[in-house]
Amino acid sequence: MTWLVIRFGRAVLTLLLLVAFVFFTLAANGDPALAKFGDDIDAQTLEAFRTKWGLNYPLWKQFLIYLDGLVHFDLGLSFRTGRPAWELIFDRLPATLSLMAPTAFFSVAIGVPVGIYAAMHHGGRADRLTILAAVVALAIPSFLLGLLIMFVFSVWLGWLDPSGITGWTSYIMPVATMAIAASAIFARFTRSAMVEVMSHPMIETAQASGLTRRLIQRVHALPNVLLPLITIAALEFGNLITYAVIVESVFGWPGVGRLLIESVAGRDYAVVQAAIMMTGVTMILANFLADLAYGFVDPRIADARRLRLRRTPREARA
Amino acid sequence: MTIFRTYPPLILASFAVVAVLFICAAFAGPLAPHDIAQVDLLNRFRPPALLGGEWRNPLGTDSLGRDILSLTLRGIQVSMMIAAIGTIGGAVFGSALGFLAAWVGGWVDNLIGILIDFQATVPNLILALALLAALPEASFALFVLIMIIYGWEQYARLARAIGLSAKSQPYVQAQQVLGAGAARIVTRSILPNAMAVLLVNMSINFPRTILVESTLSFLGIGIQPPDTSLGVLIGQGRDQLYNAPWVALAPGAVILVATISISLLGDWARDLVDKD
Amino acid sequence: MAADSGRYEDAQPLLTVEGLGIRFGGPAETPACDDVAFSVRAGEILGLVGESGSGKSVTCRALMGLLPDAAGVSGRMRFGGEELALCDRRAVARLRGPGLSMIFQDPMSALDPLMTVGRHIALRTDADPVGILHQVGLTDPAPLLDSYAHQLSGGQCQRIAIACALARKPKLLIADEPTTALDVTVQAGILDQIRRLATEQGMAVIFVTHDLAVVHQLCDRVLVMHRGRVVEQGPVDAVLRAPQHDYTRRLLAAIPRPAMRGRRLGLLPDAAPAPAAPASVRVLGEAPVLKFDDIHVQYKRGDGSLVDAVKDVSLSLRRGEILGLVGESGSGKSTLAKTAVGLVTPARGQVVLKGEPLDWNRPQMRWRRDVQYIFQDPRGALDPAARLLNQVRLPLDLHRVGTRAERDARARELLGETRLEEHLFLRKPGSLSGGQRQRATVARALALQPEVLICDESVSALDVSIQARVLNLLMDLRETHGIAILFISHDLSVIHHLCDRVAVMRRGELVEQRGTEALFAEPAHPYTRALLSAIPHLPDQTGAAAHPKEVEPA
Repeated sequence: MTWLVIRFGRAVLTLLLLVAFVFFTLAANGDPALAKFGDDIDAQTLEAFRTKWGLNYPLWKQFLIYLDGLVHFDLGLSFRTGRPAWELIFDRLPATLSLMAPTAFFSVAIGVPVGIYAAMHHGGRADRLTILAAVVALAIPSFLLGLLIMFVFSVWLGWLDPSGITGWTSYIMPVATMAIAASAIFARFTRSAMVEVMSHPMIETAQASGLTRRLIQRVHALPNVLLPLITIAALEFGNLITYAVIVESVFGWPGVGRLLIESVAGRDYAVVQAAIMMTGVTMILANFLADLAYGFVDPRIADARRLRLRRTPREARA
Repeated sequence: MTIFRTYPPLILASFAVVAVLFICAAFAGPLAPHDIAQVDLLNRFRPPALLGGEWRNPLGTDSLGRDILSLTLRGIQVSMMIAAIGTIGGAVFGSALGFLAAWVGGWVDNLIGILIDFQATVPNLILALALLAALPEASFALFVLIMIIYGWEQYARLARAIGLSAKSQPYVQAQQVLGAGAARIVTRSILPNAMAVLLVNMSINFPRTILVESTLSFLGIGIQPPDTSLGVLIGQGRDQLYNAPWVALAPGAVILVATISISLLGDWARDLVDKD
Repeated sequence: MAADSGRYEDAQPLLTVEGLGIRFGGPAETPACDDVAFSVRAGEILGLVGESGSGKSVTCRALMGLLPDAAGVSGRMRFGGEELALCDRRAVARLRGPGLSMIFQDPMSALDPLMTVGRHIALRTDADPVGILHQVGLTDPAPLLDSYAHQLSGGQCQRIAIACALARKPKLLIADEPTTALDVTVQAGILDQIRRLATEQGMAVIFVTHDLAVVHQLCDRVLVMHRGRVVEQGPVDAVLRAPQHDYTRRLLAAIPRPAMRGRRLGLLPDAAPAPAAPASVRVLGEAPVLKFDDIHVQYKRGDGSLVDAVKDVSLSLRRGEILGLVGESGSGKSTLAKTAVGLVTPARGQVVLKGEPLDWNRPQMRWRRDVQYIFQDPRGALDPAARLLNQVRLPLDLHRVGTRAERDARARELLGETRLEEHLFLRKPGSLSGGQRQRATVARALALQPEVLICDESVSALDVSIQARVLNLLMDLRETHGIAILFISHDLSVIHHLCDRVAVMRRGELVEQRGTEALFAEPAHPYTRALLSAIPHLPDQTGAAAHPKEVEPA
């Protein structure tokens, strides 16, 4: 239990650090008033703008005001549109999630089996092909891949609409772009984890007892491979967010990613802050859940956590 | 030929590509047939020579009549330079901190650990976006700095792991017992052994830095005109995908070939080092 | 000693192997195994002995079909009436389980870290797991069924691995160095268990080891392998008392034993004793050169609690003396030794060198010149990126002894003294064997002409013949230079052979400390007695009981 509390506390602390970092970085540079209006505005309007948005307070006071707002779920107002930042984000969130969910599904559904298959034919042609495909898939920048796919299927073949959401077919290109890179990561990792597990002495011991290859793979290899996948999944979550940001811009998708880019370009600090904070929250949550899962699934970790909390060490059962 | 047995053809091709890129990057100026700033509005959207255009503009022209080949060469130069500085800068900075954390331990290790963990909280791209938003204007130098910040954390992690494992190795302890000081052990013993791994990591990271820079530039928040890079070019050509696809595809092809080749080389180098 | 051999003499052999050849790489490569042939009867224990590179492990793997596809296997085997070609891995693999089974050297990694013990057994058989665990000598098996590998000791894990191998009631068990990684008391228990299984269940066993004493204690017949070939085979007593082949004789001569005490190893057993008498007390001077005064070392565990690694231990070492420090894993012997060179700081007590207390918070260079330390692992003890000569010269460089040229010459001299070939001087450690690396480590430690040398399990990782060379070297050093040596080991035979005095440690405490002969003849402390009775012996050794009994891990 104590472990849980400590871990949770650390997560909250990290989040606070993140918020502070983003806030001060953004606020320290650039005057949003100038950014919005440029140079040809009189000082009076500028001043009025500044007062209206509370930009005249000292920085630390602005930060406290911001924190106070956070607790009340007020993430500030967007400069450009005047609407609350959280509203903008929540409007666009479903679009983004509708991209991330299928991508997550496909990347695991394709990547993991491919990786296992490649590992089982270690050194063979299927294996080498898989590695090559994975290297290529990961080497291409997402935006370029998206553009290429768009070029082939929209411009050249004319089958699909290039941007916006016009029915379920619109999902194909963005999800494919994201899923290709994500699957490659899962495939590579699963493959090397599998190869490593298969060379562990426990496999030889099982073989020596006459257990069939099938049984060994199912009962020994797979659980040991799936375990580290938990960590990878948590990491991949961050990658998914990155892909979403890029792919939404390429395909003109009305999601949070594109909102973020537009806000960065337009120096709309409240929205940038809010988006980054949300990202941070979800990432921290994902990592936290992964850590939790490990405690349930790996007996070594469960023991280590329990032992750490005892005042008197238990003698190992010799 | 033995050279084909030792180095599979794909690797040789990658070496060739990298060599060409290096030459282009180094000699972009003299190699370019036209001045990149030269606007020729009568010559807009000329297709590449092999698609019906003229050899005056081998890769065609863009919306302002500028020569794509010259622009691409300049783009290669900028992208490579940023990637090089970013990778090396990140590697040096990150490794130094990592080794420091491993060797000194204690609060130094904790502090650096917090920094590393903090950077892991949000995806690196998002972090870069935040920093970019904060810049009054995306100057070249600051952008490179952001690239360094982007990459340092994984070198720090790696160097720290290497340092910690080396510390517990008998040969390091043996040198301590013989009377060697910390500085000597780290520079003369630990570092040379770590060099191979670090270099391989750098070669794997180089294409990633190109990717990041071109992504940000493509999105319009990286390198700003009048400077250009491969990403900027693609971004500018994106709207002409229907009527003049070559504007985006030429620099796009370069990025494709460059990152794949360098990635292949990096992987191959990693296999070499791992076997040891 | 071997049980009576009458019960299976007239039975047909259970397993016969003929013309076994194993080749890795192309036809130009030396084969790993060449024309190996032997047979095993039901209920018989065959010892398979050899040093590293002898081919003993790959032979076993070939019999199980566990060699990689790339290895070229030739030869035939006959098992239980069925005849097979050994290159047909599928057919060979079909014999696994109820036919042949195998256990390996590292017990902890034989088990799946994510699986309970009970499940391991359930995968193999529907029979009651408690019964099977009883069979392998685990006294209270029920709670173990829900345990995981990381919660158990090495001995327990190995017994469970044996249980897994036995679950399908194999007719032949192959054991590949199963006790090499275990403490000697635990080893005695496992050997006993295997003997019982062979006797009670008529199971044949092929026991692979590098330790001839274990063979003598456990096996009925023995097969000696060298560089992939069978060099000698026959009943254990015959082979060990009257070896026919030159290699077997050399191997026996290289093993340290009480009869060879004080003499250089490698002499033929029937040669006249060397003129140098066994060193009784060849100590120069009365004052100890190194003293441990009430050393107490504590470690902090993950949860903040303190554990006593060394409890108030006092020891002294005189000039020209070889003091043996013996203990099983966790005894604290290495920790104690490390306080002498500053790798570990004691919580209480002090180390005194030539009358001067050592305060490692303010280290003095001259201390480094007087006390040197040789680590166990020769692979890890040398910098993989630096050439041997440079590494041996390093201490001279650090202490600025003479000119660069002089240091170079001295480094060469040192390497020569350890009889390392000259063409190896400029190589990096990666291309050298374990024995060569260890000799380089010794050379480096001697560069500053220390008065005290601490050898921490320095010969444990070496083949018997290489070990003999290093032990002879240490004896030479003591005679020619008068170096005092603190020799740490878990191997009592080596200690008996080499040391003048012996100190026994257990769980951080000094249990007994006496002259070697006295300690081995009449051990005072019960733990020492238990240790001594657990050591397997070669024939014609005097001393402790020839029938090691089952010992509880103390």
